Order: sequence, then C-alpha cells, then structure tokens
Amino acid sequence: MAESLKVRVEHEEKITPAADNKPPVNSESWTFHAGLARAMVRYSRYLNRPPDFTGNYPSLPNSDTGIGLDGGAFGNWYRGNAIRVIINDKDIFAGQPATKIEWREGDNGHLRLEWELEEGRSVALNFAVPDDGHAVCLCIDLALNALKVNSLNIQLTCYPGGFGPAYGIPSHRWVSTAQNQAEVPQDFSAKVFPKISFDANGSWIFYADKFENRGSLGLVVLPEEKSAGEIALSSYGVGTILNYPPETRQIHLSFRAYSIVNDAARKLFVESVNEERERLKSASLWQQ
Amino acid sequence: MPSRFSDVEASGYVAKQGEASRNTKSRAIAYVSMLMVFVSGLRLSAEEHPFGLDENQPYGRLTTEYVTPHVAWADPYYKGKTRALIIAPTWSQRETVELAQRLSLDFTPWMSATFKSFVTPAQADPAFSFFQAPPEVVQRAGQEALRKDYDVIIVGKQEWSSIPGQQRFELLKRVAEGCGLLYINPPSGDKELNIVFGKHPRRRDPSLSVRICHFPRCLDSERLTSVAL
Repeated sequence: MAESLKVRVEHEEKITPAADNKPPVNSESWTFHAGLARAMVRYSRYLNRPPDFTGNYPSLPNSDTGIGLDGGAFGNWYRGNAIRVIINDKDIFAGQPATKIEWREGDNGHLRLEWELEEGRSVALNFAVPDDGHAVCLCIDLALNALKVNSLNIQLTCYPGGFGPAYGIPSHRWVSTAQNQAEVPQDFSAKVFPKISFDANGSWIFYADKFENRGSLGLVVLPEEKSAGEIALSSYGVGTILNYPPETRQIHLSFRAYSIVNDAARKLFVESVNEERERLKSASLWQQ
Repeated sequence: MPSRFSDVEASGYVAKQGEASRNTKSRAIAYVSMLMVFVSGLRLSAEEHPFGLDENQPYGRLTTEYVTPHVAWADPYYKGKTRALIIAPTWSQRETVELAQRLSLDFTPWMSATFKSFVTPAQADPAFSFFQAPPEVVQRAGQEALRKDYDVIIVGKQEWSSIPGQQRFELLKRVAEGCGLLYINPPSGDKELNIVFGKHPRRRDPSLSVRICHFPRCLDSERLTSVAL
C-alpha cells in the first residue's frame, strides 16, 4: 500500500548517434504516475561537448529541442520545447546540455535538471508533480553569484487546443488573464496577431482554443515574484514572456492542462489558483 | 406492500393474463422503454456534463428518470436513505439505478472503464476514444466522490488493485471507521483485501460470491443482500 501511494517516476532515454557533423541527440523523458493521472517532462538536446562531440554546435538549435511537457493535454505545452530561461539575452539551455539530472519518487514526484555555468554559477529546474498529478510545478533556482543581471525572463511556448492548425484544422486561440483577454478567431484578418500584457500582480494565465473546445492550459505564477510580460497569440502557437526583476533568484510556476471543455476547465482552473499559489510556496512540495 | 404489488399487476408485469396479451404488452413496454431511453438520452445530452466532458459523454452521469418495471421493495426504507458509493464500470452502472429503484439509496457512482482497469490506454480510433474518459477526470471523480460520507461502499466486481492507491487507502480508512463494504466478486489472493476481510466480521454466501465486511449499522444485512441480488 505504501508503495502505491507514491508518485512513481518512469525514465526513458534514447541516444541518436552523431551524423552529418551534428552531435548525438539525447532524448529523455520522465513519466510521473500519480494515481490514474500521468504527466511527463521531456528533455532532448544535442550532446555538443567533449567527449560526445568536438565540433561547434548549439545544444538546442531549434524549437523541437529543449524541455517540454507531455502526457495527455500536457502535450499542448509542447513536448519538444515549452520552457526556456533567458539571462542577459542568453538562452541558458542552448549553450550546453544539463550537467546534472536526478529524479526521485515519493509523496510527490521530483526531477532536477542543473546547468553548471562558468565561474561557479548554475541554473536548476526543479520539477515536482503532486500526488494527484493535477499539475507540473516548477521551481527555478538561479545561483548567479556576482553576475550583473540586466534581464531575466522565462519564455514559454504552448499550443492550446492542440496541433490541428498544422494539419489544416481551423483554430480560435483565446488567452485570458484576470485583467486582459485576446483571441484569434477563424476569420482573423488583421495583419498583426494580438498581444496582451501580463501585469506584475497577476497570478494566472488561461490558454484555450474556442474551436477545439478542449485541451486548454493554465499557468499559475506567484505575484510576489513580480513577473510582468506579454502573451503573443497566433492562430497556432502562443508565446509567453515573463520578465523578472534582475535580483530574482527563485521562480515558481505551475503548469496545468485540461482535457475537458473550456468553460469547465477555466472555472476549475481559476477556482484553484489561490490554493495552487500556496502549494507552490509550501516546502513540502519541493522536499525530495 | 400490497399496494406495491397492485401497482405491478396494473403495469402488466406480473403474469395474470393470457400469452397473447402478455406478448402484446411486452412489445408495448419494450417500445415505450426504447422511446424513453431515447428521450432521456436527449435530455442528458442537453445538460452540462458534471465533469466538463463533452455533453454526450456518458462518464459520470446516471439518470433515474428512466424507470424499469420493478418492485419498490425497500423504497421508502424505514431507516431512511442509505448513502452508497458504488464503484463499477460505466456501462454496468445502470444496475446502480436498478438497485436504487428497489432500495432507498442516495448513490454516488465512481465509474471505471472495465472491471480490470479504471482507464483504458488512449485509442487512435476517434469513434472509440470519444467514450474514454480522460484519466485525470476519472481521478477527479474519485477524489470528489470520496469527499462525501457513506453508509456503505459497494464494489461491483472491480479489481481491487485497479483502484488507485490513494483511493484504496481512503476506502479502507472508511471501512475501519465503520462504513460498510459490500464486495461483489472480490478477487482472491489480494493481500490488502485479505487483511480487511480477515480482521473484520464478515459473512460469505459461497453460492453468490459476495463478501460483506462491516455491514452498515443503518441496514438490515439480510434485506440488503436479498435486494442487491
């Protein structure tokens, strides 16, 4: 019984050998089995450093490599590349692959990916999946020492409602926050897709597709971390940029995904935001 | 009770008449039943789904509006409504309604995909996958069901190990606290169930494969055993 109460973590790894002057590709996934629910974190990257490769090649050269989420509707955060950390306009994950990866099963499932940078600096992504699997929570630790930070932002990519537009299926993307909302209907005719701002005191963003009416996504942030930014819509992908104050050394996010219809999902999501914020702040979520 | 039998006789369900008359009435009942299923189906589909699924998704929905011929044997029951959590596959939960027609029951269904699994692997065939409830919805249904209090938990042939660990733990906690557990076709050799059935008073009818543990105080166990079957 005690074993079955744990969030189980299933790890898979596949290495594609180097070819055509490109480094080998390492694709890993961690599936968190939380009761009946499943959430998955993926990390795929080029192993661009010796001894794997001696040439010059970025670790994440395109939008299909990086850190993604998967497992049911979580796949709409995009399994290839959902999260990037940009410090002083530099994509931390593009320069080199993660140097330390560890995961652990327990009351919550945990995964930690760490990038050891020059001069003892490091960036670590700590994922936690609660025992009911309702969210993929992320705590980013930034050990930047004396680095002068001019800009610090998180870039997220998602496809609310799924990938139908890539196959000729219409879409009607819709994003809402507590203060703003925007949409790209099927008959959208303006030359520029809309963007909406995300206020520093905001705590959630809901992403959906009104045509598909399922597969919506939610993001919970902590207002005390003062992230302000914008969400750029299109008829397909939706990009979110969250700018944090330079002195920020820890960032908390909760990723949500819903298979149910939009109205029910949005209600469920918005009603859960306060509880989720508290969960993100609780030490027990992150204890490994 | 006599008045109830009179009702049954009036509906033509109890044989008192000739064969031809009975056949005609059976056909009429069947026709009306089909019509009622169709009409109640239309009504169901117009409602908002309780778990936010498509309006035509059957998961998590049971209607008592379609009434089959029955003997309302213990409805009303002199001890009031029995609060029951009923764990069984979606397609077999009509039996919950059939039971509720015969016994005063305040029921909450927690539906599974099959007797052996709460969810089935995703299918590429959209005609089939439409009827699959997403795992997180099935899990939420269980979490919400277990926020209520029950007099009895009825497990309808569901493989015990298919119930998620958190919910199994909660179910056993309820039983330890005095809630009744009626298990129809329990799996043999399950360690957890062996502990439960071994530690608590139980009765077993070898001919019926029903195990009863900690019978709810509000019920007369003989009567429920009879009506449930």
